[in-house]
Amino acid sequence: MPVKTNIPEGLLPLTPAVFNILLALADGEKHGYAIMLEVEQNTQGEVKMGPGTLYGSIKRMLGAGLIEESDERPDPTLDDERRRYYHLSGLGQRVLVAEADRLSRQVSIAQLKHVLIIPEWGRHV
Amino acid sequence: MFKAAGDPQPVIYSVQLYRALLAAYPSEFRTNYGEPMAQVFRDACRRACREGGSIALIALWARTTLDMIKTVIEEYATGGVHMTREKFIKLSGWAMILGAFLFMVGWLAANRPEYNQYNAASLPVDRFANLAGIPLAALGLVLISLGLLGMLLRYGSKAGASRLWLGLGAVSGLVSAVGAVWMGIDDSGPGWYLFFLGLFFQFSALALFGVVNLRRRLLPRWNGLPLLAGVWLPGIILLSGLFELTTGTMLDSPQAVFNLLWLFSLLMIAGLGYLLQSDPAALSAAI
Repeated sequence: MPVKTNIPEGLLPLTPAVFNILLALADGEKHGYAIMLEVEQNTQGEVKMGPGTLYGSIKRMLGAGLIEESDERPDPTLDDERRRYYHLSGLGQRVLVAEADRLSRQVSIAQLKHVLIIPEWGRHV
Repeated sequence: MFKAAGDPQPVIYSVQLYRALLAAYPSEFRTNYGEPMAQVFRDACRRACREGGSIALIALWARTTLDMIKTVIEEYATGGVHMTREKFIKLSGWAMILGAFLFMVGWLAANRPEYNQYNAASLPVDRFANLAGIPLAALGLVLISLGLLGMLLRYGSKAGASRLWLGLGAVSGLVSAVGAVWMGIDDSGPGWYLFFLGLFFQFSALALFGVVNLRRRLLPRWNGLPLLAGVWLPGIILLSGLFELTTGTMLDSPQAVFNLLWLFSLLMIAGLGYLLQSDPAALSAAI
């Protein structure tokens, strides 16, 4: 994503790494390792990002204006002050909403076509 | 640099090794993100050690090695390769030297017995060797493959159809590296076959290029190096097969003999790397 754009749809679809990072930052700023843990937790361990994927994605997301590095550092007694914290930008929030909406429409289509199955009942929804 | 005091030895060594490996990334990316990446890796190592011990740390290394290979390529691809063909060839020569060294260290480390504090023959360094052997060997193979790509660029135009051997050698080395990492994750899976088949084809391809090179004299000097570097591994495998076919018993070679052959072969590969990086007069003739 080398070119900045203000149109969220211009950045869709997002890669799984970018979507998961945006989702991890949706409820507040976090540092790299916290993002990594949250992504792992949100995906039930299916997505385990390495440091290269994490910071490669962060670099491109900063370049595209989806996230911003926080100027304020936490209290050094509470956390390592050398950690870098990131938060969603306005564009990042709009892109996250647009991507979630796009995925939700895809799921609706899958439901209409009886692709999704509820395992407990063993029938199509 | 952040403090690592109080961390277990495997975590400290792992972070030190990871910091050294960060040199593979483009310098701008490394300057901007190297430190936070090392911090994240340190945190992940601590958690792996705390929750799963050595096995979890090995699994983390396997994942991180693959992640590193993938993202180094991505960073060079997306950032644009700001280097001339000549510079790449020169760097690939250094990669070959470093790769031969890392593979040798990795091979020796991977063959050390599992650390046991009650066994006098078990060395303290084995704790690190048991963890680092496979990642080091895999990284060594990737770097040797880069060297073979450099040779392809440097000598490809004059090598004719035999340039295919260099390409096959480079690809096979990468396959072998994937096999090594796979083996680190799951010892009972097909990683072992990928690792040895990749090695077999890599060395066979180098030997076949070496045969052509003896006739065409593509290198500025030491034209026997590629054949000497590549011939022994496929040679010993074929010899073992022949021995087993004729006698019905397996050829049992002592580990020390294998280690010596590896050392010899990797010295030849390092020699090829030295030639590649120190041949500036002929670089302008590269395709």
